[in-house]
Amino acid sequence: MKQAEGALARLAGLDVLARLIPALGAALAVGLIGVPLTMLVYAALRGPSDFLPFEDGAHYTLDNLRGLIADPALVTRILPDTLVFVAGTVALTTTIAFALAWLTERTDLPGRNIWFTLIVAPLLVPVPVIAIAWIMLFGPNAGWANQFLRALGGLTGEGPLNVFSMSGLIACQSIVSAPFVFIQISAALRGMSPLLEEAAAMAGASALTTFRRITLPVLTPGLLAPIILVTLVTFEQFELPLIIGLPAKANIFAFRIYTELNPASGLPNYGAACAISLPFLALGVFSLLLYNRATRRAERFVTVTGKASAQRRLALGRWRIPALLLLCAYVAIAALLPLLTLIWTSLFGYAPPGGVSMSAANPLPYRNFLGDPTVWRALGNTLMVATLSALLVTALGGLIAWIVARSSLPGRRALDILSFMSLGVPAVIAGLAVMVLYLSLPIGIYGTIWILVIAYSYRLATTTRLAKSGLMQIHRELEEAADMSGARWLATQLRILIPLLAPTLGSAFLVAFIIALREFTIPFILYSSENLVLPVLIWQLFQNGEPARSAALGVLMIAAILPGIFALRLLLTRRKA
Amino acid sequence: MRAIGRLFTSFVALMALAGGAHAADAALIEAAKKEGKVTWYTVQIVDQIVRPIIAGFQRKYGIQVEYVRANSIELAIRLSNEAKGGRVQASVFDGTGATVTLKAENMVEKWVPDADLPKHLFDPEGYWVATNYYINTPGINTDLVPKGTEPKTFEDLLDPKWKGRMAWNVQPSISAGQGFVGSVLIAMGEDKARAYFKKLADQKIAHLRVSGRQVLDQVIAGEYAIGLQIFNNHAFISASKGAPVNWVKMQPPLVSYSVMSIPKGAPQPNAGKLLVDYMVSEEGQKIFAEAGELPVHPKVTLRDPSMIPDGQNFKGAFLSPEKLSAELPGWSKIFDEYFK
Repeated sequence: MKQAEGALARLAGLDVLARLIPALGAALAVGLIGVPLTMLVYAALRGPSDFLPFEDGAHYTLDNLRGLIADPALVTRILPDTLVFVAGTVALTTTIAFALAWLTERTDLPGRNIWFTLIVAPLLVPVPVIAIAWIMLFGPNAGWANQFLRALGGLTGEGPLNVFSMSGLIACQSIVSAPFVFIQISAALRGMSPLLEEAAAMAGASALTTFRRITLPVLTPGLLAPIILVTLVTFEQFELPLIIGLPAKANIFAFRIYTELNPASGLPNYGAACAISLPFLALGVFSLLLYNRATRRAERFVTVTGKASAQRRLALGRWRIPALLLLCAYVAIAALLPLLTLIWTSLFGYAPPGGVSMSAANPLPYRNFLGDPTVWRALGNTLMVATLSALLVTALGGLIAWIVARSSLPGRRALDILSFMSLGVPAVIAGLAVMVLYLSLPIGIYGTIWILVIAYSYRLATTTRLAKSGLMQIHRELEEAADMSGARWLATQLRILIPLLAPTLGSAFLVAFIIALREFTIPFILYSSENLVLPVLIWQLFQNGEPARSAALGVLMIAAILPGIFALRLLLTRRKA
Repeated sequence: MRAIGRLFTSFVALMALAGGAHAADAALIEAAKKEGKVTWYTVQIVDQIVRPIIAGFQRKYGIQVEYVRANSIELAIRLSNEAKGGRVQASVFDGTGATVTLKAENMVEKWVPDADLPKHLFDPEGYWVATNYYINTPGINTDLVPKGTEPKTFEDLLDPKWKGRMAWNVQPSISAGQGFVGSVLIAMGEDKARAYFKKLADQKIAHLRVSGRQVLDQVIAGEYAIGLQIFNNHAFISASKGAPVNWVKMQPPLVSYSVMSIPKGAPQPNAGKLLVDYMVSEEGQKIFAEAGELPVHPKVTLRDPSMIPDGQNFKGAFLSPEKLSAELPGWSKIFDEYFK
């Protein structure tokens, strides 16, 4: 009897926390994604456009949507430009990433691990930092690479390369996105069973024929997922469309949202900005559904399995030197030249290399940082926001994964979809939604680092997915055993599940931290004097005509995140094993 | 007890201000020092004038100054958003039009310093005071544009040799394509101006989303031969440091003021006011002059007085902040029609 009572009491205790914590987690996820997006839709239906949805005088109206449809620029400029940008970038990115992945994973290329690190490294650097270097290099007139090429070929006038063009924008975006796709295609290639290729070789097919007739068709389903993912990622880009696309007169939708928030005069057109977000939000979520289908389909193809025991690497033979040259060229353009350019600019400003003596170097920008409170605050903010938001999305992602995989919480499927959907929400729209929400809630969060933590944390998809796959590998029997031994729910989680899940959660945290560290779009929309972060400060300095300071800060930031490259490498190779 | 003491000082400060304060009186200084720091939202160029002003102010009062630099429209939007979000961060701001936008939203404090300046430098309604002139002309790279070949009139800019070699900022302001449109409209009237814009659009002027200062930097770097609607004193400053750059007396340039105001709900209102006070004082205005800026104080002389239109050989089109804010949307519309 007593025992039964004890069990009952335990059950009661178990129930409270076991229900409360997941329920809180679910509520938080809804608060981070659902509420801002609901506000976005609501604000699109309220007017006048420069009023916040709950402001005195605001009322329901279809004006914002009508204005959107009536604006011919949407169909004549924004949609075509966005599509050209996305299609071009996806094609080029995939080509580059596939070539790199194939060379490093499937051939006997020397120094494969070093190449892998060099290719992935730029992923850690905020996009504006790289963009600044490319502008210095490939500006159509004064760009150093162009000056060099003109001198070499005896050319005059501008060019031959122009970063400020649609093709320049696509090239830059592709180089920025390539490492990301490279990682995924590498994984797909690594997992590919070598049996078919070996059979082809046995049958006397040449390397090229094997590649064309076997490797490519077999991989197609595995490539589909990364291709759709890079489509989504390209689609939400804001940094390069702002920095390079504007001088190129490319009208990418994300940029249009920004101009509604920063109009020619007067106050932001919140309603119009929200209205123009809607079709693109829908498009993002639609691509995400496609992605979901593609990944599910890909699992049906057994040629890509976890059993890649002894892959035969293709002997490059006389192609070894050209292959190495290709990789050198890629790394030079994507990493080395931008880095050298930044270092040079930090010391010499706009003066092109070769034009000045080394003694003219001015290390003042570096020294000035010590006494500049803005730089220190931006550094503190960057680390603080990245740490807190990464902690939040990791904890929440873990919790959602637990709810979906382990609990019987009602609505857990919807929660899973909500978390997954965050992948389809462009950052510029997330920033806008959070802005409109917290401007309507005058509780003093707008303008602080907290609004950045909140806004960054809508990206729950990655951590949820990582935690879910981690959870799948942990059998319930350990938790059941703990339950049987009388452990309370929380104790079971803390002492059994979380330690087992720790490595997965650690990787999830690292990924979220890196994404937050280089985030530019959201803080650029939401910045104030108090919550300035480094990527925004670097761009502001450049925009305000202080290239040396801007580049110096970029160099310091790269130096500081270099150790991150090794952490990332460790993470990726561990998953390889 | 200390709290009461503090309350009393701020009360004294309040009374002093309400009773028509005069330049940097003791109570304001004391109240400002208690606040200890001030956040300044500015459109001024950081390494040219913001840092020297901060250095001078800090030396004199020991009050720390933090700044955010952006264009006038962006500053107005940041401030307005902060006010709506319940947390105003700036205690003082400047710009050409920001104060007009915010005045309409009832977000500006009615206050001007008791400075030794002519009446026209103050807002008749009492919300702003002018600190310096802005004069927007073309700037040229003197290596790329040999002496004697520089464009002197709007028509000269249509010369095919400048095709693809000119740039302007396109964030709507006086120092942008939109401001250039305004200059031409004032000079020619709408019909002629429109015919001119049609031809000018063929010149493929590069669109930059940067400050006028940086347009000029790109001209100096040789990226473009001509920067339109830059600030003439910026060209002067760079030229005096040896850069291959000059400005052109294309008439009429837009002439406007940079004005300062205090936002309602400022977290450090006294330090904000003291900074304004300092910037319009003779001491502060001399820092502007030394930096190569165009101060408004009658007793302070410019490094090159010919930069300001005298109404004789060099005629400008003056626009008050209110007039400018009223005209800019119309200019932007026409700008978009021809150049976007």
